[in-house]
Amino acid sequence: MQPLSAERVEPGERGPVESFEDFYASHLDRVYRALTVALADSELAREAADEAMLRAYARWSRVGSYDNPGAWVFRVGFNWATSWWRRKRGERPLPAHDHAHPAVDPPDVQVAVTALAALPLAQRAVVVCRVLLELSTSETAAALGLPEGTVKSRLARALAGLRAVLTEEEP
Amino acid sequence: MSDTIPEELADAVRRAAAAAPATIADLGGLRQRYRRRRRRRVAATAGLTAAVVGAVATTAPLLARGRSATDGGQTSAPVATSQSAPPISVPPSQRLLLARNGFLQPSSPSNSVGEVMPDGTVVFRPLSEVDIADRVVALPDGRLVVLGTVDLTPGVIEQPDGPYNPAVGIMLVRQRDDGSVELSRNIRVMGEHVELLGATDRVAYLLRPAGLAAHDLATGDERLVMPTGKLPPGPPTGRAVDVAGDRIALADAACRVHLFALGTGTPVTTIGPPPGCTAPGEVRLSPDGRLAAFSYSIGSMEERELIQTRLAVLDVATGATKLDMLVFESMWNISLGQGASNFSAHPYHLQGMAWSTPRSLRLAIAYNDTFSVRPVTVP
Repeated sequence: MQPLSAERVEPGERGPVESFEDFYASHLDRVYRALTVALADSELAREAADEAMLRAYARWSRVGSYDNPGAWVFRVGFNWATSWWRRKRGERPLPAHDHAHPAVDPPDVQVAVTALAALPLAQRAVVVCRVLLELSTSETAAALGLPEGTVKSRLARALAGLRAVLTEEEP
Repeated sequence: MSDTIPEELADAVRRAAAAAPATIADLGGLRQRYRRRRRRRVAATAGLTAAVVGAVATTAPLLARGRSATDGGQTSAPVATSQSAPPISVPPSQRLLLARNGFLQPSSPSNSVGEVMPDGTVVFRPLSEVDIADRVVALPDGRLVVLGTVDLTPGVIEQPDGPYNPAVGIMLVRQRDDGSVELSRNIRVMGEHVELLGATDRVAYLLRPAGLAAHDLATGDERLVMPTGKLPPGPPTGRAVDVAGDRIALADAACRVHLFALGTGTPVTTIGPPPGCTAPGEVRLSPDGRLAAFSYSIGSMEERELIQTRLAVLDVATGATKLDMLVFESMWNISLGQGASNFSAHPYHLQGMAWSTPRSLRLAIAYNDTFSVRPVTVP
């Protein structure tokens, strides 16, 4: 996966429409959860979301004018977390439970977490953008710096992988 | 190629996301970090300018601001951080390593582990042979046992994704306190997860898919101590495990602490759970093995409750609770607008704990990018 261009100016800029405080309140949890699924590491996701929100705060006059500041924050956090070595760590097989969250989850949640963690990072990022951030294929391509065809093919492989694991685990 | 997502798969993704522990919103803390970062940038620029004009460069130790925890206790004075690495004589107490250095950035050097010294200062121990450490265990004599990953083909940027990347080594290292390496071994089994659960000077205890394995550091031989089926429910990870003498203590997801004999893998006792515990934290056995310190949480972040992090000290022989105290509270959500709420943020994290004496502990408590050391005495 190519590094994403976090500092790139978004093509769809518009005037600032909400305060950073409102944006932070409405997007922190969503971005953090998206990063948690993408990175398969809630502690790393927390650090990444904090760092990305800090950068958004520092340049809110510009970031706030983008069409989708939430996607920008996700991209910055994802970039921050997936430096070369962090990316390698994120792709090591993980236990069924996040280290930082050893509490008991219902079986269907455990299966979903395990199935997602088994996907390659690049596929997880696409799934997260499409499902959790509710981006279209073209928006996902723009957010991740990928051709639309690559987004589609990664999504197809990811869905096939998820379906295989989820079907296998069904009683 | 269709790019529609079947609803059942989308639901599975949403369920996985919803299961993540909630993060703690702290707009005030974010603003503080922004101001500090800006001041550092200004200071760095000013320092560079001064150097250009020939001023004598000086350095100042970074002083981490201590914060008291919420139940009014014995928080220590502010602690100074240092990047020097003085040699360690055999300490009279357990060593206190920080779970993460990140909150002390930028004072913490990369690829190091922070150790809280008895005087409250933090020393960053350089880590060798690994690029990213997954777990570090401190031995009483000053050495460290480290499990981490290493790039086996440095300089090669294009690598395949996924867990079968042959360019990654998972190294088990025993090193001296100055970072020099005594032994180093790639213990990776392709496609298999491995964790370091504990270590003595001779043996590292690893969690592999087959179960708990004792890895002889000198020879590399591994012996299965307990098969996976005999381990407590919920895979034990990280600091929810401790090794002392011939005992290994593992906290399960239901907040019970199980003790096993390492030599035979036989169960010794199960203690707990503390009343109301919803998630286990860290386990630390006292040096004499008689007490188990166990941090745990009460409350559900999903329910937006006030989360309590508590400390229980349990008698290993009888299971009796010697101490059960509040360490701090964290609020899931806080005031985000101008005067929208009276709640205040308490984004605390317990970064580690260690026994100072057979009856007293030290807790390292982080708050944003500062931390304090809190002593606790067991009655």
